[in-house]
Amino acid sequence: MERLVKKFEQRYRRARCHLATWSDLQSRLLKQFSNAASILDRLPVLGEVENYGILKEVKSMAQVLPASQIESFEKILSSIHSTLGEMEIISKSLEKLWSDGTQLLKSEKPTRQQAQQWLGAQPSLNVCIDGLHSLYTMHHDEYLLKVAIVKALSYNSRSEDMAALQSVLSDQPNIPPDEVQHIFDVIAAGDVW
Amino acid sequence: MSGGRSVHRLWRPAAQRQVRNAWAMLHAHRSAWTTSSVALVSSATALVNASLSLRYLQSMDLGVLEEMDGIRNKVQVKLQRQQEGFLEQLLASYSGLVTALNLMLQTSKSMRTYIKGSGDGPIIEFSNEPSVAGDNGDGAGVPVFATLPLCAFEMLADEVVAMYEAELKVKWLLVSELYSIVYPEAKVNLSQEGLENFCKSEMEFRDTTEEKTSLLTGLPNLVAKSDFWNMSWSQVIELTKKRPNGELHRDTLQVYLTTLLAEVNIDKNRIEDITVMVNDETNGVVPSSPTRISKAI
Repeated sequence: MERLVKKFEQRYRRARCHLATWSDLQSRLLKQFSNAASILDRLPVLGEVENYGILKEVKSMAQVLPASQIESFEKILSSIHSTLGEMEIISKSLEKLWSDGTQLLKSEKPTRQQAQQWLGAQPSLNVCIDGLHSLYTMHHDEYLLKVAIVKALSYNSRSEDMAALQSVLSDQPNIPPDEVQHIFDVIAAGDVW
Repeated sequence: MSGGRSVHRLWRPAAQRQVRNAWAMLHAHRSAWTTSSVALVSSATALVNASLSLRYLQSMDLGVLEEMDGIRNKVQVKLQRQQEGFLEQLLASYSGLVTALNLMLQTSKSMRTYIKGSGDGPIIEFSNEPSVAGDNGDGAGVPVFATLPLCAFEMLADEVVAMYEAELKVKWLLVSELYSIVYPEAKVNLSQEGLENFCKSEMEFRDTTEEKTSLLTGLPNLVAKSDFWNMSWSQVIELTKKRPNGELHRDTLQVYLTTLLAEVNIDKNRIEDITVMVNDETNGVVPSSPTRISKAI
């Protein structure tokens, strides 16, 4: 059984890499979202010719500027979607780690007692599986939440709403950091990875 | 050209090198522009923020600090000094832009390769300066690489440079507006800040190449993003004198900052297209060329 736990350790190492990628993607997403939100924020101001000051003298400006901002908004939106796509890949990889773990357990056919047994500080096989499963569900739910938030970005969004959405986006309510840390602590069982 | 076939044959490698180098330089100057432009936006933002704080200082609730003697005055003096610092940075970035554009302009005019000397002897030399009568430096219009003659490369470069020039005009207007925030009564004196000199030298450069610009103004609807494309520098300077009196509304400042940021006159997609076109031409077709700058461009 110890051998199996070692195999799970490898999976957790891989999961940790995925989580690191996720947090890179998360900061990229936040940046993109705040850029998009600030464009949406200033579009109403840019739509008023009265606000153009000295640029009023140059007529084309009041048409070209909002147009260019809309263009960059659309560009940012498409890069947001590609970031989301990468996050989906991470959530899928975590799912695969979990389902592979389940397969592994099935093929070895440990007894129920073996599956529940802790060997010293080493966690039981069930704990290993559960940890992978929660990592997967956390990130999957968070991904779905992010997709929903991004859908709410539109030309009609109000700036207060966007600020609220942005804070939800950065909070990642589905991925409590201390729980993630706890999962890894249990697996590492005091070792430093 | 008088030298006959062999001169032609030898002209092409020299010209190819020249064209490749010129485009590499052009892109280098473009990234220098970008650096200055980013710096310009950030100092403009800082300047606007400082001036807005200054504006709302009198109505600001300072809480417990109200007790302190002359606190508002001190804050005011400090903010004013900060403003001046930001303005200085702003002007420095602007002159960085002018330098970058000047270099771009020079580069776009340095694509031709002229034959030096008579071209009759065993050694044929080339130069950047015309020396033989009747030699236009374009190899009598033959394709430099596979298809495009030299004037096509020049036109493409001109198109890119014209975008940046139009953008420089917009930025000039906005810089003069921001200047007037800090020194409201000195608005006309902006020209004495040394920027005018840059501007003049640039205009002179333009004047000597007047025919080239007229080629471009022939197709404004195709490429122009805004009216700045067709405006002369004197028209732009005339515009700065027209500025409405009174404080700028904060929404207007927002528009200004967005304009500085967006660089609407620089059509990135078009530049990308041009770059690809030039790269394909300079790299794809002549595989055995000595100097390859393929990826650098």
